[in-house]
Amino acid sequence: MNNMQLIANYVPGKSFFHRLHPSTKIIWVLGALLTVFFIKDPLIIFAFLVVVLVLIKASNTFATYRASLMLLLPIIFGLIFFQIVAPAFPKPWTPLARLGPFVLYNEGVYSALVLSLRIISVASFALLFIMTTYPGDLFTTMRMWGVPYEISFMVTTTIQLIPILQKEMNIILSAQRSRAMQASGFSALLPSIIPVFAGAIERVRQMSMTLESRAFGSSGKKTSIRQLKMGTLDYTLIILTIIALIGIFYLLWINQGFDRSQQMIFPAPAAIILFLGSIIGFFGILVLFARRIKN
Amino acid sequence: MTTTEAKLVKRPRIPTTYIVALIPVAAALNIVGSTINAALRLPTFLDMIGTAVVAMTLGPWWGALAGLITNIGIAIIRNPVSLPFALCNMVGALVWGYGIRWKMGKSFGRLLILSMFVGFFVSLTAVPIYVLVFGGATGHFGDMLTATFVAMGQRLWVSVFSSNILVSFTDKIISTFVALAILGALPKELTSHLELVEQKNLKTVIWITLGIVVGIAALLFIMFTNIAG
Repeated sequence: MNNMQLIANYVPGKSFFHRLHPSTKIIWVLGALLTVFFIKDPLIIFAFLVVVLVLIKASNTFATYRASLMLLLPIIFGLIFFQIVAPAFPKPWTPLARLGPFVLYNEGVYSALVLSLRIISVASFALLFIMTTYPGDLFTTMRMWGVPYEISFMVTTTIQLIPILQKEMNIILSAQRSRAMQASGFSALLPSIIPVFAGAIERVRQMSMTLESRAFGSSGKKTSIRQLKMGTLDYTLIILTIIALIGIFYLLWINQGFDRSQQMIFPAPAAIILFLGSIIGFFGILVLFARRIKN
Repeated sequence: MTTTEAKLVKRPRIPTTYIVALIPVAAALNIVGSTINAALRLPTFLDMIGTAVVAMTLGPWWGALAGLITNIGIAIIRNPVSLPFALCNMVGALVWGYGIRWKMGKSFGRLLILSMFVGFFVSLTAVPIYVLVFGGATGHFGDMLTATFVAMGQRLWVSVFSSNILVSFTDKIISTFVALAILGALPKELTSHLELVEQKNLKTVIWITLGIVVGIAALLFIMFTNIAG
């Protein structure tokens, strides 16, 4: 079963990114998200992506990153396909080529590039943040920002429960198969899902008692074994980020988001290759995923 | 349970620790549900069953919290791109929760309508995210249906919504009835205040779902060919 996907993405390390305070990184991720969503020039977004990739390489997290990015590929291929034939731009569109019922547009290729690079670069930066932040530190930060303790407890518990329930589900599926249950289709749904839930509810009762006996929700200052402190570097970086963001948004506003859809003309063969490539990629990835689940 | 009896049963006071323990389990089950879905090779998502159970038993806003926590969990362990879809999960929880509270679970027909409402509102929140952020792609087999609609000359918005609503109806109707079966397996103190119909054979539900979805699909195809022609 594909347990690979279910292991948390944190990669232990001591790189620059690992040492930053989660608050700093969260502000960076939000800043990048906002900026990238307003830029309309694929070249600038691509440059940003290259910078992020260098940072990922520098923080020794590339293997985990690659595995996680694979999950995004079907949606990226689908996006390229749809954008080429139905661009997210006001009409009139400039047709480049015709393939069966589909007309490929110049604006389509442009917006396919912008949207896919946008998603990949934001996802990469957010992944870099998650891969270099110890989950516990993330929750400590959440509490520091005033998120109730109960919420961070629930998120932590969810993440810890997933592999446990996953294992339970595998045991139940094997048990039911050994009793001649069909291994696929809707008729297998209830016999496999209800035991998992029923078992999990028993767990809820136990957990509730444990929490009760440990005075969960009592008032008073909570202490944590991991101490987090905002350093001078963090404060400096946050201030610099805010100044940089103001500058960037001023530039974006003046230049209308660097929209170059009217200047960039793509050759028709490039559009056709991209279009056909997205179809082949979409099905290829889905078949690959299906095979992986089977094994 | 008759209505007069139901009025006598007040909503139970569930201890906070129980809620705090149930929500993460539901969120984790949402995520495991989507793995079961993949393991059994079903054309649905099944990633909101835990949300449905919480929304029905504890109330709509607790369900919404379970939905939010599900997507935060997915963002941390898999991919942060799924974070905007927290909104869909929350909307689904609200419709389920208020629907059950407004007695939509009393008969089989009402529950069917409620689950279609859930599907409709979830699609209504999901489609703008798919179109504006992901350029219309979902990364599922449903994309082929969208492509077919685009090829028939429909606009991207219409195509994505049409294919999404078909998948959504299937998914939410089945999720609702799986959740109903799960409620039957839950301890009585959690479910005694609910007015719910007796559990149905899932096979019947699946045939009815198939009928509804095929009917809507046929209607859409006829509509689109007429508009295109």
